[in-house]
Amino acid sequence: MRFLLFLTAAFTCLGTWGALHRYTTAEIHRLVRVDGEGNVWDARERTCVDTVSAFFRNRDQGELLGGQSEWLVSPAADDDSPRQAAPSSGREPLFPSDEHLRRHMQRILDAAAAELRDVLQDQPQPASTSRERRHPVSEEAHWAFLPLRQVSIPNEPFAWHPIDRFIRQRLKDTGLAPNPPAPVVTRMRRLSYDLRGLPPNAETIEAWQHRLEEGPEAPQAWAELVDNYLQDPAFGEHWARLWLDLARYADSDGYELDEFRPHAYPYRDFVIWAFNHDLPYDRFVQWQIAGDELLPDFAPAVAATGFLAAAPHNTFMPQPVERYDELHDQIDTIGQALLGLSIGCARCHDHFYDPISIEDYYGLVAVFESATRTTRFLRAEQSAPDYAALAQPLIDAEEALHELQVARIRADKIARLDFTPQEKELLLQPVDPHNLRQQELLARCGGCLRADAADFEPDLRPLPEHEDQWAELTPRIANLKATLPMAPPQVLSIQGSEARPTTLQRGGKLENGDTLLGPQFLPILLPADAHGSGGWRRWLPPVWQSAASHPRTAMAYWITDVESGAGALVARVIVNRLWQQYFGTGFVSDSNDFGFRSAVPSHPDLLEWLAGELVRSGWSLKHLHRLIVTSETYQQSSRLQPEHLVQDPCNQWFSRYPIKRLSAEMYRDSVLWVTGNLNSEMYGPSIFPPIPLEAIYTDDYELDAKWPTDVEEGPAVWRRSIYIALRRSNTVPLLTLLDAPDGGKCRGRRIPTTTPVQMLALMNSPFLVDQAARMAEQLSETSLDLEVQIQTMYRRMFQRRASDEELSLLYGTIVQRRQQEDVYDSEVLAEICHALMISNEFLYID
Amino acid sequence: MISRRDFLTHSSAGLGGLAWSTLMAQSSRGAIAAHGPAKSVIWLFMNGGPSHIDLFDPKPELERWDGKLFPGDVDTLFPFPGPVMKSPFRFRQHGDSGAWVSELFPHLARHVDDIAFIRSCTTEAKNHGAALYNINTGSVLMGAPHVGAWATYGLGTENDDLPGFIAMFDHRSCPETGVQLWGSGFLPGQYGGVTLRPADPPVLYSRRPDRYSPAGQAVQIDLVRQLNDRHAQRLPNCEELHQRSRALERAFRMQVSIPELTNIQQEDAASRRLYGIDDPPCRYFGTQLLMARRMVERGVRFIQIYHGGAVRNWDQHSRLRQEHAALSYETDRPIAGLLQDLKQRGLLDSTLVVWGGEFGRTPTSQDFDGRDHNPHGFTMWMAGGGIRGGTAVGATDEFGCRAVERPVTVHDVHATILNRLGIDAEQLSFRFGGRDQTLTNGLGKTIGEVLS
Repeated sequence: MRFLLFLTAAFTCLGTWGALHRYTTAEIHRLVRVDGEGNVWDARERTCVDTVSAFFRNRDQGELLGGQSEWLVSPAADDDSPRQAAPSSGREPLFPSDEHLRRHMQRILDAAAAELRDVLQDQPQPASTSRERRHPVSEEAHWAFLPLRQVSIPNEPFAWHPIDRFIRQRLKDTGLAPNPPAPVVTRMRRLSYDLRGLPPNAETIEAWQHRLEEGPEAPQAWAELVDNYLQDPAFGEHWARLWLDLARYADSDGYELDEFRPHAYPYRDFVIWAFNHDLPYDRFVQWQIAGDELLPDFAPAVAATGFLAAAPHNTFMPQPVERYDELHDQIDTIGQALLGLSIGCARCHDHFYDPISIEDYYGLVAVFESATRTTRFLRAEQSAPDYAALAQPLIDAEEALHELQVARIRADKIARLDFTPQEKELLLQPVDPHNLRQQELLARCGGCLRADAADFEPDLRPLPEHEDQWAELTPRIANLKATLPMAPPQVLSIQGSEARPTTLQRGGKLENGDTLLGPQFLPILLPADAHGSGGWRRWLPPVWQSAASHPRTAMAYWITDVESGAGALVARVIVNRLWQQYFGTGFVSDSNDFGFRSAVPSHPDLLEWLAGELVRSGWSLKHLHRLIVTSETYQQSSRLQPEHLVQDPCNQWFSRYPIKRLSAEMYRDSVLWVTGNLNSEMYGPSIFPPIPLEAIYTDDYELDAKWPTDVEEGPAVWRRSIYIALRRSNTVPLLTLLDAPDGGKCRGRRIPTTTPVQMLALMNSPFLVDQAARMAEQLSETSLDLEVQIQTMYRRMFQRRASDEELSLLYGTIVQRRQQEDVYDSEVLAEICHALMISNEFLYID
Repeated sequence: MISRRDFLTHSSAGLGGLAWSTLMAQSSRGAIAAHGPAKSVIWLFMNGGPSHIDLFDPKPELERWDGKLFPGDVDTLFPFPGPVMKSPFRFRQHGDSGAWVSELFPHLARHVDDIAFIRSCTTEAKNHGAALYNINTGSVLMGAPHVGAWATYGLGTENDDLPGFIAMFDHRSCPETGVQLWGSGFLPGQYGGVTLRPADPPVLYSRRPDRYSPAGQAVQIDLVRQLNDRHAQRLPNCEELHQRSRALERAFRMQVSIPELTNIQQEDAASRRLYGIDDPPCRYFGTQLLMARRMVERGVRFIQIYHGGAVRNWDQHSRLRQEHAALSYETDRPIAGLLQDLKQRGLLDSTLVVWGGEFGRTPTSQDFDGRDHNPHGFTMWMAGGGIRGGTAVGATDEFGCRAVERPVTVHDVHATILNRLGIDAEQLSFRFGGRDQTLTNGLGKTIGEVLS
């Protein structure tokens, strides 16, 4: 009967916050609290969201409402405190500002980079097991499931680069010749965009252009430029996006409440960091599955498990089946992102096409059965103390004080009721769902047990019986606060190492769950002697062998095991993805499907060779990037000859470099880059750039806006788009219209669309209008000479000079505008700037 | 300066591009006859879960059990269901078909002979978020395309100057899932629903920036066109670049065609009255429905209108009597007006009208005068384009608790909608995640009984 409380609370109570900002860390800490009666109150004490049984059910699954941490502190009296309170004033060690967290994150990751080499050595490894090959290699075995094949580089006369030899060998069959190299500046622009997601700056072009012109030194210079760009932190910020699409990363839960996830960002930062520091790809994969077990004290490894925690997740009255929906999402994502297999299809029945049975599917579910969401403090160094333990006394004290405050508030509310003393007495008793009399009173008393944010007045006094306790707690809290260091960032991650069986649910229906299944990996990628229950244990490090726990660690090692696990497939899948990013098409056209239904790869030998190179290089992704962009295939011109349209319309033979539209993030970042406004600060809590008010929706119950309505354009939000919060129910429209995903499902590729509504956004977006105006203003300030202004614009946007013809076109526009109406030249310049920004030359690389 | 005529002559419906043509090659739009009776769909979505047993599915048994514990198991979202609650509303039979309609829909009741009631709908989720996804996309998980996106993917649009799929939400708020609900999911973005509000600007980004004058923006767009032409000369043969230029021109035209669409001042007083626009409670929804009719006239393929959103909706866990009465009042006259208007304009035969929410409600009470979510049995109705009016399909049990006779799934509803548009839902596929995804994924059967 506690739902009575819920109803009164949830459906009639309005927010006291008015226009919502975003949740700050501090606010989120107050998100969940269990009151003395076992009701769970959401955020700011306003809404009782659940009964205690559901709360503990969730907690048993490690999933507190909103996926937040288990402890909660601090009454909600300081609701109106500024969002970014200076850490020193009114010191709230548990609630550092976003900027503090960002810097802290930067320190953690810088330190981690310095430690990385040692850490890679220290990671516990499985005892070397027998090296027998996987399942018998038969003629009919599907190529993708076979061990890596040795391939020799074809002998092609006019090509020195291995990639070009493979490509030209196939290209010959089409009768096409490779395109000639693209002009140097075109290539530099292409390279800068492909490696960093940003255009090259004018100085780089000046410094490198002549060295890259034809000549014996040119290839060397190109290689140097490539290395420069690979070292640029912007590299990780660009390439991380590919991975975040796959990981369906978002900063909120999705579904009904779509609670914000303030601690999701360390995962995003881990991906950026990993790509920048060329974390070996096998480790990159291992940590995302079991980093918390393998290296529990190493921040990036723990943050990596955010991969699993990124699944959408219903937090409102979670239903038992939704736990399996979430596990399904995790397995489906692992299948598609890492293995290029649609394992998720086997949730209800055996896979229709691939040799994956429903038993295989639930064997994987069992690997993650005990793994649940948790929020952890990151350690600044491996040796740093556990912050949760440090903070515990303060948390306990604040909780204790909070209880006293709630008791006071309730007593006052009940006292004010127009009820008989007996009725009031009954209300003060512990809530008993079976006491109908009490329930009726509760329904009538207007939420008298509820403590709202506004009730926590500063002059709240204790009940007489609590005076001593209160007097002791208050100074203790102040003292603890003063001595506790500021909290480090937390990460939404995964915990749980038990090997727990799951039920086989035919038809994907929980109620059909019967047979118990333990962890098992995909038989198609297992050696014969690792089939059956317990076979998974061979990939365990010796220390956990006897306990038969840590199935995730075993999976992490199985999935990257090139000899007898899924490693060869994992290598092929990532190689194909990188290639697809560069050329628009992979060797396997559906990069998420390497199963039986995928077409034969266009270049099977090259795919094998590159996958082999990846493994031979110690899983260095940067090695692959370097290989690809130093090839002539990559550097050739994008020119579409009529014969291309006949012989290679989809560019599957790579007869040219593709003409590609910038992704949503590349586009926004480039606008900021060319206007000189891009703030290159890295990492930290997600940012909320302003979006049109009509694209901001209200959330349930709270009547709060889902996106801040009062942020302004400025350097704080002019950071790279990868740092923009992805709120699943309120995405940033400009990015969405340019095909950025919504965090719903694992996305192996973005399909670039061309729609009128998208063009409306480019024409009318306040962001673009504003950036163009700012750029025009700068240009007007630096020179009065129209030609200089136009040439500066062209150099920054297109990395070239405007031709005479273009100059006269633009002059003509200016003259026309002057005649049309009374406008300043700077205003016309802004209009022109905006026109260039939405022109195809800016939107496309070639 | 570019003239309006220039823009018009450059118009083209071309969509798509080389970049994903391989993907499209694996997907199938084949075998689509596209000769269904319906050309457009208007889905009136009652967000929150309207109570079938208080609106269209009377249950005399509830009178007998009123105030008593429910004799059996009832699957509720919240624990501890309350006693059975009879409907606070009276029902009466209407029309030649004798369909039962509660007193809350006096105007709609006059149209029952055009309506096919499906009284045995079921859904797979009992939470709003998952249920909204389920009934709109077929999946309880996020990220699948809306049925409207499938329809637009299959049939394209008939009007270049307007989006093919338009969604409008309640003036109080959007559904809690946000506008992603009518997004394209894994289909290419152009098939997703475009949100339209009866406000300025009606469509996001469809208003010229204050900083620019009309003449200034026209010159600006003309400049972009000339720059694009030069660029295309340097990079010849690339279809996508031309498509983008055309999309820009269409966008420029949409800045005119969208306000024209939403300008209901052009409508006469009788139309306004028909939709209840002059009656404050009906004004917003009535305006939306009138706009929907204008969309149908202009060839918009799929229109979905949400009544109720995150903030106020049909989710009556309490205060059902007052709230259902108020929400019904807001919608009764506008919906009846829409049906009548479509009919007298000869559009009803080619417009499929669908009414329903994400689930129904329980016979058991909550908070004394509310009802909980019920995904196991509820009512939807269809009318118009290829629907046999005056019919009723299926039935719930004596309490309205579960569909017992001819249960209908969300997939069946989807298959029926696409069927009336001339699409076999199983033939319309898109390769994603290693599968040929379809809207119904082999699970949907057209509800033959409602077809005319």
